[in-house]
Amino acid sequence: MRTRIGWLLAVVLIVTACSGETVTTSTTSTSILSIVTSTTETMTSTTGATTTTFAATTTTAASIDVTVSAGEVAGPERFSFAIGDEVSIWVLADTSDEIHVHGYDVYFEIQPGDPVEIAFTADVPGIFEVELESSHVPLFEAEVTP
Amino acid sequence: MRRLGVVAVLAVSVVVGVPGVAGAHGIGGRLDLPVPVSYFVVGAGVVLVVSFVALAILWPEPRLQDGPRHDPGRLTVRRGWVLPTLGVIALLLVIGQLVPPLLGAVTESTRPTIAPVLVWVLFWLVVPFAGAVIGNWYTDLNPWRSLGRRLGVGLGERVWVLDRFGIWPAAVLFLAFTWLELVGPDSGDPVILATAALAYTILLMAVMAFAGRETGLAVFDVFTPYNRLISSISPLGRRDDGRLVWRGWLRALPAIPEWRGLAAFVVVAIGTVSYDGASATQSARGVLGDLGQTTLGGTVLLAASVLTIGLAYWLASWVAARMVGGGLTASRVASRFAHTLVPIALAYAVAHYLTLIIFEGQQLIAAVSDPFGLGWDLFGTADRTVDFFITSSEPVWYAQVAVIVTGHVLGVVLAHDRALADFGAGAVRSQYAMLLLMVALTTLGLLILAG
Repeated sequence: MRTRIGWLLAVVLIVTACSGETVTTSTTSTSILSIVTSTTETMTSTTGATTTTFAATTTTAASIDVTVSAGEVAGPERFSFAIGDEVSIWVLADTSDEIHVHGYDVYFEIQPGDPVEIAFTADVPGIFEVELESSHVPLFEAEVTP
Repeated sequence: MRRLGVVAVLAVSVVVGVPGVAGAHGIGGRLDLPVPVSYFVVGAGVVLVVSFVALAILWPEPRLQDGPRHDPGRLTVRRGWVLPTLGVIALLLVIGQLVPPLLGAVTESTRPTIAPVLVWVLFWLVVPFAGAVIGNWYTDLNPWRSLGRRLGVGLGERVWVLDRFGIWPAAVLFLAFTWLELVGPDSGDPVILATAALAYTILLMAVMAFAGRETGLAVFDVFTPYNRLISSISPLGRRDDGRLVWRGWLRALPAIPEWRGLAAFVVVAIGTVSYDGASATQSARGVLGDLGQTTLGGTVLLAASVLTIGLAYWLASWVAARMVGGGLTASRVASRFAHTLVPIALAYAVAHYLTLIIFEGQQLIAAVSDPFGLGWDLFGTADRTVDFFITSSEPVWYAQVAVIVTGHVLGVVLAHDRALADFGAGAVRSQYAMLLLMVALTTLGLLILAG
């Protein structure tokens, strides 16, 4: 029995070794069945009924990436970055809350009508959930690939 | 009975009196990057090649069916008090999460308490996975056994309960437990965990009181059969006299009693991890959209995953039974081969939760200093954060694929051996059904990792 299991293991090792050259550590991991491709959309926020004046804020970025209104999130589900990138995602919400980036464990306070820049250095690989902490509303995922 | 009554009254008053708690978040929030295509291709390729080669070269006579060999080892591990005490302390730390809110202590801390790490990492993952290597140490750790023993619960064993119900109750509770983990609105909330732990404790006490301690645990405690099955992979076991022995590779698995509900239990194990992995893939998100994110949607999908795996296993059993003939039923085949899926179930779990252990497990270091999230710092480690640089992505991908392939190989070996014993060398063609199922399950596992 040991010889046979030995042969079985040998086959496994040989096959793996032979295909070893095709195993590349790719810098972008392509998911095999990805249907959703993440794109960062530029969105202009509609501040319709609220009276907070946009122009008065000191944001230099003109584009809001993610908006939250009445618990509904509008924006891409996933933002992709490479390791080392400086992440900058602008979020606008109609509630006051805390935005939590899981994994990196950073928090950003957000007030109604006041856009907030989610900024951090993407130095840890993985897919990280970003959500409104108190209301448990998931905003988007940040994917960081090596 | 009176002790039980006291516990019940206490429990009810606690549950009724618990105020709402500020949402303390817990485990999770980080997913693994999908395994690159090349890893998937190599993994799937190896699986296919190995499966065919195995058919050709594996032995013609069953070799694993005689049960564990008990070569006397040199190491005697006495049943001491350390593990049982640790188990009870862990349970009390979880149930004890109810105390601070009751006392009105409000936590300012955003750090998770010790409860999520204890439950979802240590108890749920580390204990069984370690058991696959060192043998079933859960029998010692089991806090409910320790409590039952201390309270003198369940001295008379009603074995008919196990004969009649098998481990069906445990399988159902297993599903409920994973529902709480994967679908439940806030599985990291210490109050929710504490309440669930308390309810579970009361249930087990009642069950043990009625059916006897060992029978009650065998039938209703989710973790007893789970750890028993997983640790049967280990070549280390314990003899009745407590001596740690080398029992030979894979021999304990075929010796697992064919309880009713055994196949269901293994199916739940595979189905729930499949749901967890599949629902996180990009493709699933794209197809299901927001539906999958709601509690109801998640529940339906979890149930569907389990049912699909169950159906697939039933189909394979039915085909095998038909090919062998002679009045063999699908149900009998399903029961006889359930243990062969255990390595695959373990492989699924390890591949999927490896990084959870590596990363979230580190939270234990900080959590022991502040177990209730009240701002304490008992050991000076309360501000320790998770070190994500402990490992990079590539070793994780290698490990995940390697584990899945290994699980597959072990499953194939076990199924082959059982087929030889049950179907005889003449009907060995019938094992193709199981082999095909295993290839499908393993490929699914790899796809989930890659998606």
